[in-house]
Amino acid sequence: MSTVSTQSPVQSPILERIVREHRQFLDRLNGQQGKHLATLRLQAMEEFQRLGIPTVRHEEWKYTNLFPLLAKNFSLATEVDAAQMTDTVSAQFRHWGEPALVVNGMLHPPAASVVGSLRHALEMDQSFLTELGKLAPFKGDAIIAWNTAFLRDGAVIRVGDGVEYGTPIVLVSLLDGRDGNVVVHERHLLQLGRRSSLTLVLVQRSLGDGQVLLEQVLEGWVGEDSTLRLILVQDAPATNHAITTHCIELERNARLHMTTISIGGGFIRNMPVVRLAGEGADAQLYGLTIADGTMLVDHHTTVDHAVPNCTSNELYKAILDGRSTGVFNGKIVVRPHAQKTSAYQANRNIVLSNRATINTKPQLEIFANDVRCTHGCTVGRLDREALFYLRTRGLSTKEAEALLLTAFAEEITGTVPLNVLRTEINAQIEHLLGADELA
Amino acid sequence: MRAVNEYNEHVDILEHITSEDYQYKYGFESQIEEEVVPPGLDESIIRTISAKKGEPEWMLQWRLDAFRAWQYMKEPHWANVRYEPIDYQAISYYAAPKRAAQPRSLEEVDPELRRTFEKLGIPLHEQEILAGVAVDAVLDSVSVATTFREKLQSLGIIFCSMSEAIREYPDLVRRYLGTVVPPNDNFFAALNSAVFSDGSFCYVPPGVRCPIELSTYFRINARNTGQFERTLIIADEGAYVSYLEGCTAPMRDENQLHAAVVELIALKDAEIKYSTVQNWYPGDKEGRGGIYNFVTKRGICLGENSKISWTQVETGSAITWKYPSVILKGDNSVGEFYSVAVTNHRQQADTGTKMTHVGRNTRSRIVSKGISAGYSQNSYRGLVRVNPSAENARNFSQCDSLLIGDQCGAHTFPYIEVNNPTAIVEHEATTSKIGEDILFYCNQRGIDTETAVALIINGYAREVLSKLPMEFAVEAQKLLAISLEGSVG
Amino acid sequence: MIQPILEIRNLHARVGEREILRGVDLTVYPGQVHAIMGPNGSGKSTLAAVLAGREDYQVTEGEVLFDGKNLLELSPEDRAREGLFLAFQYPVEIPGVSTATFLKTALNELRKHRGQSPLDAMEFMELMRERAALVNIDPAFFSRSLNEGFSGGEKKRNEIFQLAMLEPRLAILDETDSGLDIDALRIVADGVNALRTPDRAFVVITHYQRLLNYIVPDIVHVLYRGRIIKSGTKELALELEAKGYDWIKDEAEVEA
Repeated sequence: MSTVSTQSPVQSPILERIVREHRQFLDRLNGQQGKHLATLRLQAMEEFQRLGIPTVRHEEWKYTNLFPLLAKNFSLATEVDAAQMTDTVSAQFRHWGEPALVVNGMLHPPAASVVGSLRHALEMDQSFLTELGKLAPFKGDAIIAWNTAFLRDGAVIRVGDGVEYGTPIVLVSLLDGRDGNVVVHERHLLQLGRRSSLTLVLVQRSLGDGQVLLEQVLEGWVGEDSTLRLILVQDAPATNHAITTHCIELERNARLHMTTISIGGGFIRNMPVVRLAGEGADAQLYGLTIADGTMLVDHHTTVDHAVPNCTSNELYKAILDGRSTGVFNGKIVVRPHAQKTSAYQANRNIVLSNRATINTKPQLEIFANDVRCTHGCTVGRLDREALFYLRTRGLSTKEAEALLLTAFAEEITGTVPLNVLRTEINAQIEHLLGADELA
Repeated sequence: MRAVNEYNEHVDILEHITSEDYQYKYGFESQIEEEVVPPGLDESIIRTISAKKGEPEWMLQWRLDAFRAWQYMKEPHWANVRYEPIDYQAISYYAAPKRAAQPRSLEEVDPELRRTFEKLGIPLHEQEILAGVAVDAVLDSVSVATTFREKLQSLGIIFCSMSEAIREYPDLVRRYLGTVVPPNDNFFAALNSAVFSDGSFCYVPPGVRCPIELSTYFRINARNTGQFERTLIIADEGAYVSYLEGCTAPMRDENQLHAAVVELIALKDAEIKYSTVQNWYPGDKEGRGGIYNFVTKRGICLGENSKISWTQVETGSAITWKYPSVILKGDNSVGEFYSVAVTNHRQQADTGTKMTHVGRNTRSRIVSKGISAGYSQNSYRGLVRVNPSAENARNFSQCDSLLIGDQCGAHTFPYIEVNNPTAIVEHEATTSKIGEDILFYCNQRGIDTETAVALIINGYAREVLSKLPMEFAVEAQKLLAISLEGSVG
Repeated sequence: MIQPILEIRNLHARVGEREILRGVDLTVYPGQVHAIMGPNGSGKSTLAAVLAGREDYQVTEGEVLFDGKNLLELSPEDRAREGLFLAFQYPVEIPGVSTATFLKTALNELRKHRGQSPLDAMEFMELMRERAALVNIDPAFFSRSLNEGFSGGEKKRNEIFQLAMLEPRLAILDETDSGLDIDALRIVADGVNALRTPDRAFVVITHYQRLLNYIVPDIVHVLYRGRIIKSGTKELALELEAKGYDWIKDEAEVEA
């Protein structure tokens, strides 16, 4: 072969499959959605091929190997008739807020809402294309390139100036695994005007027994003096996998409050990228992993202090049992001139089993001098003193452990700003940790 | 101690002159001066180096294997370290002794260098040695020197150059060389293994506590070991040795690349303490010139209850790239890393450690203090790995960064990999600047800003400096102050 | 005629756009203790900071003579070397730098300025012990990092100890009594009293009269809105304690 690619032999069949599916995908679309979008998809595919699927030799993927996941031979999900299931699925989430269903990547917007479909938005107004990729450019990022190459639909959420949207939006990604393993690409856009607020819940569900992979990219702008509360609930069965990229930009005095609860699923990689672009902006990121079996959860965060006088705080916790793997990579960048930055990061891990692994890598890149930047990381077991104390009060070892682990987890679930949702998550966690059997 | 150092250098000369192979060696050296090994690297150059050093066949093969591995390796590149590509074929891998180029007196030495010497308070005689002035080997007191050498020998401690060790103690060298840093470990280690010129060898026999701090200072031939130094230190069961490396004063060097390898081996109940004060030429204020210091340092706690402790004060070099590491193999073994790295002007430092926990109840401690000023970039990069076998492993890491000025960068990349539930790993890091309020407070007590910065820096680095042998610590303190001169105000 | 140590004439100073000192006049002679009182925000600490040379403050008008020299053109460290000492309201912590190291550096800078040879380690330790006894401070402090982990009272005592070590011509005590309980207050005051000499002067800045029961002032000034609006004997302090500041404010408003 004269055209030796840079991809390893292992990755070539997977890559080839994706390239093939991309061709079929474009053929099926048959020029719908206009020339510009078609060009974007082709360029993104070109970039994806150039970069290749990231391997563990890639610094950002050092601890997370995509290949065992992608070896499951996911085929690209096709459009399904969702009309009859929309109501039943939505009903499950109505008590959280206002559900909006994305079935195999296609949005079914509820009537009268701030949620619209990206597909429709692009059909009506090609200028939407210029918004795409501003926060999540595909150049140099294989996952975003992959997403952009298969870009078709997703949610467009717009909250106007001065609007405090009271009801939480619940974006439910429903993946159809009834006919085998599928991969779904979703692309969402979110715009909060000035002095506005929104609570957005992202959750994933699947149909059937097939393995499903959700590859989701969200680009969100939070305008001046606005607040975005983002809750990512990952509690689906082990057949559900997710790779998420959530790029959020905060304007002056804007606030992001994000909680990620990863307590179910097979392979999970979350990549929040938060850019503090206006002075006085504040980002709070919380994450919880509870993993057992062969589950892998990777929180790969980036907090980018681009301007002075911003604050950020991150707290990620993990409880790992069985043969599970937990990864935390927390990058904080303080750009030149981003003076008076205050950035905190903490990562706390409890390993319960001999075969579980935790890999953690805080990463501070600081180019300004007047900053307060602290990070801490611990890996350990439950506090023996506390265990002993509880046993002297009559609890069994098992009960004492369950109690302490639940308390450890609840520091994160306590940051979920929705009472109903928090209560449900806590109940799930108590069940997972065996604390619900306590007298 | 300094006096002892000098004596020992003299002893070395004596030893050299009186040794049996003196005639051969003399001839060998003059031969080099006539011959110029051309720049470039291929197998024939390695064969030439090995032949010139009169090495046995196994050593040549070892070098060649390393070279073959190196040819297939890629030079590493890190995100915050930037430099012009090195042309490995433009380097001469066997430099002739620099004796011809030596200044004849201190007056010929760069005045800036002399000014630094004076600030450090280094005695005139020692200044001459450090500056490479050709000093006549006038022996003040042969008896003291002989006593010293005899003492080491009577204890069974071997301390000599690597070349000498390869000839005199081939079994020890063969047994341990490359066991901690394999020849194909990384790009620069492979290069070093192929072409290393010389270095130090030390062996402390079972149960012996080396009574003095050993230092490369001690050997006159350590002065110009050149770019590819190779050091091997073995502490046998129950032995103890403290080793001081490098120069405590700036050493001008025309070489661009230093790729040294240091291997430490601690057997059961043994302890090795390795201290470095590195102050190679950092280049000028605009970043011209200076040393690329790409060093591989690693120790293994092979036996139970052994301990290896690295302490470093890094103020020099244009680029520093080094991660003194410990493999904690023996049960209950202990690894320590204490580091102060200062960068100023256009310097770049990427330094840290790797603690690999293999044995049970192994403990490691990391204290890293980075100080960046000017336009420099200072990175801590560390790895703590707890293998599944390492029951009850403990690690504590503290990595602090201090920024002076708003054009520099401080970066922290601690990797933590835990594969055992009984491990306890803690990592803390902070980044801060020297507060205006602290400077004003010092000013109000009559202390000018420059002195105040030196005072604050020394306080900040105290935990590390306190790990250094006494007079090393004093010089290190002065070095910190000199390195940061003019960085504030 | 005795020359004053400190002469402040029509001193105006501002932070950014805000004028805080608006024409302060004050003359301090050797051996005197002046108390400067006033409500919060009247400019007391600003006056201390301006005299010590803090850069955040901009002097816009007036002059300050220190032993006849123009104080305002000196750097903060030169003011200290000339014999001006400020006991800080909030002393800073310097991690890793022991009190002994810090003071040795400071004292030897001062000695260098005066043309004296530096003290060696033994002489310095002796002086430390002697002065520690004078101000009743535990020598265990010497090896601890400067103010790190010290209680509020310990920090203030450390300031007085530094005063004893550096032997200034003029010591300004900026709210040294704030945050102290009665026992700590007495120890600090005893230290100051032990250091009163005929050629040294003190300016004691305080919000409360309490401290002045222990450090008895020769003159009491009231600073209000950046000017000294009333001066008197120590009885003025008692009156302020009894009546508060309002009556004086009213007087000032009337005058203005």
